[in-house]
Amino acid sequence: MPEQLFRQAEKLVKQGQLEQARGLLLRYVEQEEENELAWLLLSDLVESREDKLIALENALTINPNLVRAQNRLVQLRGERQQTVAEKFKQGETAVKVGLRVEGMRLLQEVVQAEPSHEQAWLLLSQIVTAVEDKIVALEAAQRANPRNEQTARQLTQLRQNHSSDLAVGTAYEAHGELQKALAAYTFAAGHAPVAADRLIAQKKLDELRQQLGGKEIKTTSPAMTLLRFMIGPPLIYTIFSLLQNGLRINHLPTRFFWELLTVWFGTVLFIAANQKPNGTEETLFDADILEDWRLRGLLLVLGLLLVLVPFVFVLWGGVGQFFVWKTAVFP
Amino acid sequence: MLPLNDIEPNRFTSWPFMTLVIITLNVIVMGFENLVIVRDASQFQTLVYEFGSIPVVTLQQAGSGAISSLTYMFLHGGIWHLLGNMLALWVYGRRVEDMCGPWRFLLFYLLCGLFANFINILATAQSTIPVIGASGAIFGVMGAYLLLFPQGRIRTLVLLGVLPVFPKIRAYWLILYFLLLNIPPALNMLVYQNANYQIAHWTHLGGFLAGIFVFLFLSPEAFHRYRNDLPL
Repeated sequence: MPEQLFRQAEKLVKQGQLEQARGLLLRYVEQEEENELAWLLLSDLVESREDKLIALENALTINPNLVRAQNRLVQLRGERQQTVAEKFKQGETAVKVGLRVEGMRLLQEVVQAEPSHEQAWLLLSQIVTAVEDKIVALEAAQRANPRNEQTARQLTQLRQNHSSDLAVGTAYEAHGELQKALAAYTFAAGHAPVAADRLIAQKKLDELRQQLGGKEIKTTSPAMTLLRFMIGPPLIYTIFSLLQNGLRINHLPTRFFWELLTVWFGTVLFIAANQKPNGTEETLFDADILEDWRLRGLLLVLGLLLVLVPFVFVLWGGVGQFFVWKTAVFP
Repeated sequence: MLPLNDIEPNRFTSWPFMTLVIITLNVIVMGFENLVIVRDASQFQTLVYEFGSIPVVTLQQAGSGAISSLTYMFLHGGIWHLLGNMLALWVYGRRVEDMCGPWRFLLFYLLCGLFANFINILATAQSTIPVIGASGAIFGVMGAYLLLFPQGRIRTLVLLGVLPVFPKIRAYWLILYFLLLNIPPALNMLVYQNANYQIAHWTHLGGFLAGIFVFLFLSPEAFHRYRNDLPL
């Protein structure tokens, strides 16, 4: 029976019905894996380059002497190499001009297509923010080229130290990422649990500032970011409520203050649940909570609801007022 | 003088999602307005009175209250009004959104529109003319742009007689030009409360002032770069 499927597929290819032929061939190779000609034919019918490569590799595993498959495989691998090289170049340029997100996207595509692309992993390790991500990237770079001693050194340092901000700062400084080192030292100088570490961090901070020639990089603590973000929605709510109450503060109902508090609390909850834990920043919630997607989702939804409900109240008041006015003015 | 495009690239994102969503919403509302006009032109005037922002009505706690402060910024008085505003939103909004992220940009945009209306009502308390248009919110975006990218270069259409030229003009010149256009008539409106102006100059100035709130909505990375004078 499987042979019939193969013959029928060949016939369909000759008639130009490629899609149906592909379907039959896929069914055929599921039942009969050892037919190199079927794999060869399938390599012409599948669309993606990766699928073509798999089909050709299968054909050559069964019969390594298939010259056509060999040639096609070389050609496809060459094309893939070229695309990967182009993407890497684009990613590199994006990183150079400061388009970090775009650069990261391109480099991730490169390492997805070619997991042994050492340069891409190394570049990724430079642009990711979290120390954990840096370690992952460096590990992959090391797998790609185990003889690169610099990678091994960086990796050892990061693995040993990534639990301490002081150590993270030292690692960053050693890699030449001075801004990140400054941020880590500043945090360690204020928050390291051991007093001696705080003193060392302060000393390193002063040295680094001196090294930067007075051009001090100001760091922003996550608490400051939280404070900055938590002002916006309550401000919108206040203006919204004032407009609803004819711009008269004395017309604001008492419940306004409770609602304002609710909006503020909801905003804090939403922002705090959105914080990304990493080696250098503290977060309002523990990392465990932020990594548990159910708990985090619950906090996000709760925060959003607390922000939105007071707005709905005001809007509802506006709708009622609108219909009374509309009936009076445009009967 | 018509700003056409900001020639500088984005830093963090490649797609100004929320700017395009706001533009699309405004276009859809314009389509709806045209449907109303085609069916019955007088209904359009009613629509503007109902959903535009009228200072006297808001102060009397009548009309749709705060709702009109949201709806007024999605209504436009005609296709040229819409085109001018949307072009300005595209020119200045793209990179401001890049600095904030789409959702924070949306909040910032709405805050600018609300604040612009707030200032307009305070300044023209006796006015019975409905205010419509996105320009208040867009002036807020322009204010934010001026704070974030004063050196930004904008490709602008300038007509020299009948000859169109497309110079790249620094953002501060352009924005200050548009700001200055609004100040004398706004002051005049303040003195002569009943002056019948076609343009809500106080909404523009209020919106521009609201641009300063952009610092509450910048992404942490953009805020860090701004604080440290790093290129945005």
